[in-house]
Amino acid sequence: MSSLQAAEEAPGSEPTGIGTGGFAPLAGPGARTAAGRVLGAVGYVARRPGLLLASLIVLVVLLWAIVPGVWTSYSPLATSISSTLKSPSGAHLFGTDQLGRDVFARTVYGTRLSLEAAFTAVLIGLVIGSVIGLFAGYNGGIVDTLLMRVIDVCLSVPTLLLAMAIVTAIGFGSVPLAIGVGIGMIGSVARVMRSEVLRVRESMFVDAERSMGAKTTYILFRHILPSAAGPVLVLAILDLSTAILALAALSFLGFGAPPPAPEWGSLIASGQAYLSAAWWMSTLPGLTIAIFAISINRIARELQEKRPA
Amino acid sequence: MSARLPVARANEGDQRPDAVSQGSLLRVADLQVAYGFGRTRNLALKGVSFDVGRGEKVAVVGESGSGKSTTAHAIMRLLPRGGAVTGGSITLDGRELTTLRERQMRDVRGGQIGLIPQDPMSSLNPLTRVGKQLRETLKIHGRLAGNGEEQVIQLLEQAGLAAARVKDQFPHQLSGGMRQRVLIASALACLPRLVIADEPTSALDVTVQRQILDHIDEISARTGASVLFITHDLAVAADRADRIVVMNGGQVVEAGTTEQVLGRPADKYTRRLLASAPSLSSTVLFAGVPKSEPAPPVVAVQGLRKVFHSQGEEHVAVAGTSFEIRRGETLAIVGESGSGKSTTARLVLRLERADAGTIRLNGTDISQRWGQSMRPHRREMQMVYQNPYGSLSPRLTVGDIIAEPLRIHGLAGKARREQIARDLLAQVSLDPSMAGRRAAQLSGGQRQRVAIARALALEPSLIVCDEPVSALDVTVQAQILELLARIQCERQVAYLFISHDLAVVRQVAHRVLVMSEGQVVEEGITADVFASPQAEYTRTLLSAIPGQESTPNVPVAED
Repeated sequence: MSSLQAAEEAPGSEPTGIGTGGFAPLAGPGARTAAGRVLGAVGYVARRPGLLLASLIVLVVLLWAIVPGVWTSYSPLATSISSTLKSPSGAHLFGTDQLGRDVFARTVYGTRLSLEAAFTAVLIGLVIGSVIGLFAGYNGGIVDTLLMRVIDVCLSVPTLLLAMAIVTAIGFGSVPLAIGVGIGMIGSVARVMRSEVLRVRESMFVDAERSMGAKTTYILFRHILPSAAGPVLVLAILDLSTAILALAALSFLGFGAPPPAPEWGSLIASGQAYLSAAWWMSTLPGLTIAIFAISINRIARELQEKRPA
Repeated sequence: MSARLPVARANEGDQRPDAVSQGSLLRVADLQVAYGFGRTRNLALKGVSFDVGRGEKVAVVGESGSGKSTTAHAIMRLLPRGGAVTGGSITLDGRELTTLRERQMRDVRGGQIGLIPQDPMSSLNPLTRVGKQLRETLKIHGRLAGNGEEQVIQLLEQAGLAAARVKDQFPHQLSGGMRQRVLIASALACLPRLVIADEPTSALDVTVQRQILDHIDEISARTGASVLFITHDLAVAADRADRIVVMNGGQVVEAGTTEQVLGRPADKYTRRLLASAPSLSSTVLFAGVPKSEPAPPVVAVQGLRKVFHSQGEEHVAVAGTSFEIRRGETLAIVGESGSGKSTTARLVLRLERADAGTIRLNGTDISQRWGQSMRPHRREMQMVYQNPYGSLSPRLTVGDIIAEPLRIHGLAGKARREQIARDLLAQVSLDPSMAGRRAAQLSGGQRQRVAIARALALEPSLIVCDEPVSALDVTVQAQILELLARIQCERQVAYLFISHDLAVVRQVAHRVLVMSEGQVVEEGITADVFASPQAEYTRTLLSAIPGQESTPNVPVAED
């Protein structure tokens, strides 16, 4: 009620724009421009230390993937017999491995491969899941029932197990791995998309569109999809951290890119044998992955809570 | 009964002979309520004072945002989160309520003040049988005798319900009116001395509304309880209250006996409220009945029928309705919920598939057309929905919303669409600069204007208005009705006007069709139907309209 009372129409007089001051925080003219919006977002993040830290970590890791050479002078593949299994120091931030390779350089260079796979996986899950959810939700009836039962089956199989089965079937490597993990994500995306579509489909403005003579495809793409996209995109960001962990786990188990290509999961796996002598080989890349995943999660949660209803 | 209550009662008993509280049971003095803190703090009540005498019925009247519900919540100490009493006092029988501890307040709520809530649909626990819910009320206040079975039966019977059956039913098995009776039974279970009725009938049909109000009257007369009505409906206040308190913007603008306030309104706002309230004597807004033309009617409906099937049961929503509407004419379909009036509208718009019957739009039979072959005809008929909060997309700007029909039919380029949207905004008396805003930034009345502008974008020959003003405050309602009438004058558009509100229908419709349970029970020129209703059902409907028991309509001063 309180939000409505600010906006009473001035009776008798011609209504003008003045009566709506109650919505100032979102509706101020400054918030309309793109620059104002970015500025507002930066200010918002800066006031929350946890979110700020998470954003900085994600930004740094993304830069690792884009321009790895800037972050380290070592090559990820160059071996050095003179400096094997060195503990972390100023020269080797994460120490070196049994072949004298710089672990930090391998972590940084491994980012691209790992992130590419993670993004591919999420993209597969997002696109296929969205299409299935949209189709099932809008059509309803038997189509909905059939598709959702298939999705139920997919969801009942653990993601890792499903991905392993798929990778075993279509071959090892980081692309098959991404496909495997991506397929495992279709279920949850489809579910969320379907529930959003059901909510929007029954809303009155969609009924109004129909009464105006709009075609189904027009309504789907102009109204339902954009309205439903918010929660699905937040889910996709959450899925990104899941994908990174799943991919690391699978490449740890040896399903990923063949050595010596650096990949986060295989980095940890290769250090496993030296855990008692060189703890840093597994631990530091592992911590990096964990911190990155937590940071993504933090951002996704923020988006989830702040999303306007 | 708890140990505390008798003591409290005894104290109050001592105070009864006191001359000050002799007359008044509830005294609200200079009450101030604020929401929020610091800079966002917002005064909802700015010093509200009024009294409710013993056995007296007082109505607090106002529009949304006037603070009338806040007043009720403050008395019950049930202000929503962020709201707080910041000044003034509320005394019940001489006992200050604002400083009472929460535990003591719980005994007051339900025990001494009974609340009849606004929405009977959501105010009962859907998972618990009605009898058990009443028993819980009694138990909380320590008034349960034995297993309470007899008390529950007695309460339900007093509420006019078939107690033996209803007590074992779940709320969803009861109609709105029956649920409201259960809530009244619950509010009165502990024999409160004050009953607060917060819009007790605004969710109900007029005939049910009258029964419920009669019932509250009767109970108040029998138990001697005072009643505080919170209502937006002046007519209800006029019929039922001894005194009226008019609120606006968190202040009492006028208070007095019902005759005083309605007969000689002193305040400007009260006069405007009275002038806006549609009644059976307010001015008719539409232009004279258009001359019959040789052209075919805009819509001609013949034998329209629709049956819904649910769980193997057939429900005839519309049973063979026929009517036609000519250019520049308004036909109103009137009926209570479940009468089939909205279904008829949706059938005409081809949003539902009719089981039988023909619909001719400008001479063309569209009843068998679907999809692509129906699209060109959709341009000829547009709809204005009841709820302006749901019918506008929250993501689009106002300009885009209005131009949406043009976009759908691919009728104009982007620049042209923007131009048309601005022109239409001006036509519905909105500032064209509003085109860049979003619906969430507009008030209810402004949104409904946008919805009307959208309906006009394709220059249709028929606009279906489904309860277009029932979600709006009376002063805004009057403005929207005037706008609809003006547009009809200018454009000669035909309206199919769906409404449950006979007073509104009388103002806008040339002809009226009365529906009940899917059947057309009466049809005719509006003035004739109102003057000499033929069908029994129409007579019931007309006599149920509130506002007829009080003083004849009031001379309204122009400002």
